[in-house]
Amino acid sequence: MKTGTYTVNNKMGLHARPAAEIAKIAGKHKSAVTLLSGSKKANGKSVLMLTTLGAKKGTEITLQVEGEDEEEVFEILDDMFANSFHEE
Amino acid sequence: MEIKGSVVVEGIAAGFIRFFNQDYEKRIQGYVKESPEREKERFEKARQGAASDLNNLLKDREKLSESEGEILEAHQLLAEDMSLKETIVNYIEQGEAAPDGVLKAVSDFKAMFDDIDDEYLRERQKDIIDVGNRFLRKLLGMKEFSLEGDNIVLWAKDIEPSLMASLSEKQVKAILLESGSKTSHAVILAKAKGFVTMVGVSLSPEEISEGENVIVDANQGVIHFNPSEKEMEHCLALVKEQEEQKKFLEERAKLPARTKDGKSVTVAANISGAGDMEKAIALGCEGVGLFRTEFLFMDRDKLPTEEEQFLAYKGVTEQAAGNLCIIRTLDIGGDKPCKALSLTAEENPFLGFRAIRICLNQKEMFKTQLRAILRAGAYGKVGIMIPMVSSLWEILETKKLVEEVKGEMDAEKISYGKEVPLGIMVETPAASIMAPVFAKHVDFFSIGTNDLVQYTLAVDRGNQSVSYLYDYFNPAVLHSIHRIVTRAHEAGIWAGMCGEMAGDKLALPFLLALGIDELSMSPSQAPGVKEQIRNMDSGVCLDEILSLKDAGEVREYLRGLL
Repeated sequence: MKTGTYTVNNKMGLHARPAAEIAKIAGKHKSAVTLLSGSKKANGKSVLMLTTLGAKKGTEITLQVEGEDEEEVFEILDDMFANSFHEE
Repeated sequence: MEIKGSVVVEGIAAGFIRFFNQDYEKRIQGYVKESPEREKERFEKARQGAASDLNNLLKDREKLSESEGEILEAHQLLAEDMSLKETIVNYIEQGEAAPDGVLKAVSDFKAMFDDIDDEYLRERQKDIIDVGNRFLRKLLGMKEFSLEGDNIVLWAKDIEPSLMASLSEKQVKAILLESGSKTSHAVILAKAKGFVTMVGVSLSPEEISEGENVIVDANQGVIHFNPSEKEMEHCLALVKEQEEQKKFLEERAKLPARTKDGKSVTVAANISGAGDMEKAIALGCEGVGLFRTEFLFMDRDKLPTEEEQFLAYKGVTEQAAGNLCIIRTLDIGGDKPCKALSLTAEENPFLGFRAIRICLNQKEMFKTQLRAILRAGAYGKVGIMIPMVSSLWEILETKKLVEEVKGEMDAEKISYGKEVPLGIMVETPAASIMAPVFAKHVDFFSIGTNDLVQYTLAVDRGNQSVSYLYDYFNPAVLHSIHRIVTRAHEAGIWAGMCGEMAGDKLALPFLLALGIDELSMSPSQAPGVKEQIRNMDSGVCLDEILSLKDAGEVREYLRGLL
């Protein structure tokens, strides 16, 4: 399993657009993707669950990827999180 | 054919009638449940139907505005979302009918969104509700609602606020509602949008077919169906004149409201959230005279957090750019339900547990709100206003709580506005009678005419059979208002008004003669009111008005002044 911890840094937080991108990538791959924020846990393949995390700017998020293609999936998502979903 | 209704927003509109009738409840009652296997199939078919509707809508992306497109894309993702699907299927497997499974899943997710302490992210719960409704419409065989064409006169039993908010001012000219409430959230939105609006309009779709020509005369409170060509022509000329007048007034909206003899009045906005501010400012409102905070508390299962309230209040305060924003503390109960506070049904809700009475009973909730308001005070000029005050104790107790939370915030090193004025809504006969005493303890009065009229005249404002008695021109009400303003000024505080009467042009000569300091109204009324103030003298004969004996005489006298 690969894990990483990030702080949400873009103004709008983990809103619909980044949630959709994460779900799209997770959905295309076999690995299980899980996001943790405080006591909340979300399946990375569900936009709805990702949005209910309510991760606004400043929230700490842990990413877990587990499965046969975890290296590849983690690399893509790690880049997204580390770069604030490419948003301001 | 003619039908009458009660006017909420005056004006004339001509167009085609469209019905909006989405009575989910009734259809769900008529839904026949089959085996779980079969229900799962029905749901899956409905889900695919909804998803394909969304795909079709998005095909014409260039026809949509950017935000409409984004919302539909979010809906598309949700229609395909595995967690939503799994939750609904789970409920069906447990024996629920497909529509109930959808409703339960939506309400589960809605509860998760309610917990989010970020306003923007929490707002996304609207998407899940909308998608759930799309599933339901497919399951129940209901047609999708879409508006085509211009000049639409929309009739509905009632309209969900989210749908009202999405109606375009370009397409829709008038709103007719069967429900009689003039203060529902949907009606407040219609008013803010400036639609010609009437309520209490009963139509039977058997008698009138969709697409018929209709003239809505919300100056007289009459709707004409199938008007003659001549009538239609006449009406269109009036509409044109009205639109030109509106444009003229809006161009002049930012000029100050000063009478010919030099008396200035502050014209402020009644709002229910930060979303109303842009329009309020464009239409010349100088600050906020009434921020109805109850909409932050309604339609949800949990109370809003301090942070959430703070952000809402701060947003409005910042937009007001240095003008005073008066935030009314929670005014709930009476005709405004609140799921988050399990309030019991009462025999006489308007005389019961409501507004400040609830707040002083639920002190922690009240303190949370006071903290949020005071914190917003660090970002601009904010005022606290308590509703439904009937005894001095309520004022003193509130002031004590304000001091208490200030002490707490000092200890926590949280910044807040140090000079936040505290005022009361004067809307009970008790507050009017005790005005000279109350005035010594508060910084301002704002007269809430809607309740003041109902309590002074002992008339239930929602009851059609006594509505003929409900009239703020009744001399009993005028004397009460006179007393409130005079006593406020004697005590050296200012007095404003934030009820319906404040936006009534007929009432203006009286209010200005009293020397009222502020008038707060729905922003769409502000340009017209300000223009009229600029064209009048403040010194009409007050004694003469106060000597009149009934509402009819008062109206006649005031009409003579126009």
